[in-house]
Amino acid sequence: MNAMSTWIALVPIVALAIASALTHVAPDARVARVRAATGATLGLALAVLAAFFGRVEGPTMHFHAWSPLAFGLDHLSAPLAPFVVAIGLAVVLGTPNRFASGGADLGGDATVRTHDRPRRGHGHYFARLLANVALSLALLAARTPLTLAIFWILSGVPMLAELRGRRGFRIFLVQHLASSTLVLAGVVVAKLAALESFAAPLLVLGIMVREGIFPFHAWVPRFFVRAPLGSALVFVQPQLGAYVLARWVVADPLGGSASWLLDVLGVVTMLYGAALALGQRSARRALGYLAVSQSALVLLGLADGGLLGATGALLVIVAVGLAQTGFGLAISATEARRGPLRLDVESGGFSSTPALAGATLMLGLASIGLPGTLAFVAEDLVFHATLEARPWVGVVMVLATAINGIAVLRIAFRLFGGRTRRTGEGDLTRRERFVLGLVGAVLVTLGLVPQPVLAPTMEAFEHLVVPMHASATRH
Amino acid sequence: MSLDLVLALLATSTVVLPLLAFGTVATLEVLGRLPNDRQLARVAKLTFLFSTTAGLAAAVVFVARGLEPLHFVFGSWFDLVPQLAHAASENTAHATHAPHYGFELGVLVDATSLVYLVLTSLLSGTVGAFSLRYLEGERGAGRFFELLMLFAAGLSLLVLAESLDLLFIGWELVGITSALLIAFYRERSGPVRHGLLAFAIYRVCDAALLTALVVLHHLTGTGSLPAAFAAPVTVGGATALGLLLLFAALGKSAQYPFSGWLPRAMEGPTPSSAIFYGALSVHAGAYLLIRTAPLWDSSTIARTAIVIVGATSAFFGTFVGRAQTDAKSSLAYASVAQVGLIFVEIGFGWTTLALVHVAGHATLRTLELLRAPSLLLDHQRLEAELGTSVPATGAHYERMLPASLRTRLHRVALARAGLDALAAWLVARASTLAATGDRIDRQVAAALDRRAAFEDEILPETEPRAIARAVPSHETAEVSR
Repeated sequence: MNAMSTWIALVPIVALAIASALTHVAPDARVARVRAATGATLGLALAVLAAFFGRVEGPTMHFHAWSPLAFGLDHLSAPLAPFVVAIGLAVVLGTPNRFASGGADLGGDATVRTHDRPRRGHGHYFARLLANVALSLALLAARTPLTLAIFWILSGVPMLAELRGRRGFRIFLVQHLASSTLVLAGVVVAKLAALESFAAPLLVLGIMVREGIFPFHAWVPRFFVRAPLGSALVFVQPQLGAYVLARWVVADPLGGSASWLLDVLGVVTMLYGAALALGQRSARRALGYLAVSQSALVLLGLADGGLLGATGALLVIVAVGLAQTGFGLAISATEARRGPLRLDVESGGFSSTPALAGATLMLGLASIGLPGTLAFVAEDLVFHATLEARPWVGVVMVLATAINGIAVLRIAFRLFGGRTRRTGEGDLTRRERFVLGLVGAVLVTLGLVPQPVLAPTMEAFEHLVVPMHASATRH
Repeated sequence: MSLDLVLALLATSTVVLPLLAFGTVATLEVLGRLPNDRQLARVAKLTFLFSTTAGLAAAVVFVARGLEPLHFVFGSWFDLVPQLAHAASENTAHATHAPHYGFELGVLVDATSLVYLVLTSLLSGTVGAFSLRYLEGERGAGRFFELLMLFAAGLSLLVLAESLDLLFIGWELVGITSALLIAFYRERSGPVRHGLLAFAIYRVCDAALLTALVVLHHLTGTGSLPAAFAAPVTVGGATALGLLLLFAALGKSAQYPFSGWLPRAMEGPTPSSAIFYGALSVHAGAYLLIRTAPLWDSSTIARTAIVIVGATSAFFGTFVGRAQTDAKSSLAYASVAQVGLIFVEIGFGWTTLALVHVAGHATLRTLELLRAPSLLLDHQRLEAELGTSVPATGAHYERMLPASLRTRLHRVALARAGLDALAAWLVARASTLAATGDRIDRQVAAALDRRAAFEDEILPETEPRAIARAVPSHETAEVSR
């Protein structure tokens, strides 16, 4: 059964890789988008099938044992696999034509031309998106620590290719090298009996670099400004760092210095990210800080080691990840129409582009836990778990989330409120409306009927956490 | 069908009907088939007709049932039960890690919630009907009705919730609709800024409610109010709960020191000001305290704090309100003062009086706010009837003070006792701190990227060419303006 599961897990990865290659040689951006969307849809279907029917049963990955390369989706990674592909699909469909066809999607030097025609050779953007998704999926499907470390390293490659020759390349390279080295070192050290106790801190540090936890956060806002917004979302939102942490804690709950380090820095990051998102003058930087604050929330939920917190945290990855992707795409759509977006002035547009403004507002609110959306349920679980176990961490968490909410409403109000906009920019196109509407519909449907997502997520942790360290308690 | 079920269903339909109407309209909107304002007004009319009738019918059934409180649970919204048997049984140490966590949907109908429900149904119905005419032809009237329906659903949910968890959802919905309605005239700068201000204060205070909710779970093992009322709570626990709930109530009820947003909230259309800040939303804090009174009334500290906050707000509202020069602002401060008095009554444990006070104040204030736009007309009519100018009233306390002090106090009252200045100062300090963090982040990132720190920034003020490149020429003029 398990050998079969390995192949089933590899099918969507291979499909996405092939789709990426086909997209790469597309004659123009339009064809590239069609190929990428088809590939991603197929990948999504295959990932769903793999998650349901190809699950590996048996013990979870153990970091302390030598083992060769192996793949397979288990209870923990299976729920995340379709989500990672879904984010990719949303971004493929939602990227504005201008950015997809080579109009530089760069916060600082975007030029505004209303109808860029697709140009040759610009399927690369979509191809890299799909490659990124395929590698993320491979990381999820890794069954051994070595496989995991290898795909951690590889998952940064499409992004490096995207940024090559652009500003922002070097800082991304620095963070990726740092986090890769730390994670690799953690995986290796975990197998050396003499140094075993260093494994958790090394791994946690590596994860913190990638997730942008204070003081390693500075790369994230700059990355959001410099990278194409779609690529940034596909790289950041699946929160693979948090996933690896979940992998680690189910096998070996954090204790001592690693746990303490994560608690303190996580709390600082949540507040810091929220405060800086609130004060930003650039919409992209604000998005970056929101992402930083949110990833700290996930790590704090996971680090608890409890069933409730971990279930909530995993759900936050999905709910907030999807909502922030939608929010980011709405902002990207606005940027395609207006150029770089400022938050220190009120730009107007609620009446002239009501659908765009409404989508930005609603998806933004969905990302901060508006009741009736999935993020509400997810955050509710994390708050309950954390406030019970570590009250002070929980209080800061709640407060930071409150500030995030203010930051999101400020972004929507500043971008679309305050004056009448008479620039004649178009409202959402049919394609954009479809993607943003679909993301919103998924979030609301799952928010109203969360049981189908909650039960499997909880089950995942039960299968893995409980047997692994039934005796381990932190309190 | 038992009378219990009838009552539960009637009460619930005051939540479900507006929510369904809102959901339908929102779905149509997403599909790009938004009904026009006239159709939306018709939907709102029918919704409010039915939900008001349901609310009143619930009251009749409640009386017919003999005024017995009804605790009715429909089922659970979501439920996390550890599936593996050994999670709970085999290892007790782990059982604390794998708690059963569920979210039940139910209503608690008793005299307190019913008074509020009837008030909610009647006033939102009345104001809905008033707005049909008042906002006829106004651009965005449809959006107003959409938000009003969501608000009515949220408030009914808040009122009927059998658990603090469910109450929190209603509380959040009331908050977000309130902020969006303050910013109703969203192409003017003032309303948008004030909507954001109100939302900011709500969010900060909501954090306290969320914390209280978890503290309640921790202390009593449940979020369900009837169960929590029966559970023993230590005085320390009661104090913590009381203070957290008080803090939560401060925001919605615009009590001192969070009163600043209320007069600014009057930027929204008059009917929404009436229903939110005269009638229903502004009393939500008081309702929260009345509803949860059994949880904290054993704590002297919590009760004292409520009395002090209420008294301070009552004084502050009266003091500042007297210096206001426009009708809606003075009404706003009058509301702050009255709600402050209601808080004092709650602190003393006179919840029945507080409830009567809420009902009376809400009804009167709604009338006053709805009449506010025609105040001048009313005044002129009065003068025409009297044949002379209307004699000045209400300056009794002022006359008791020496003239020099009067001027000085007037100045302080006009400056809202320095509260706004203090808030501005705090915001400025926080912004400076955030700006410092931002600068350091940029420098670090720039060093790692070997670039100048501020090249990411879009600074059209200092770089006119950047904005000229970024924005089509016909818009540049607007931006620089």
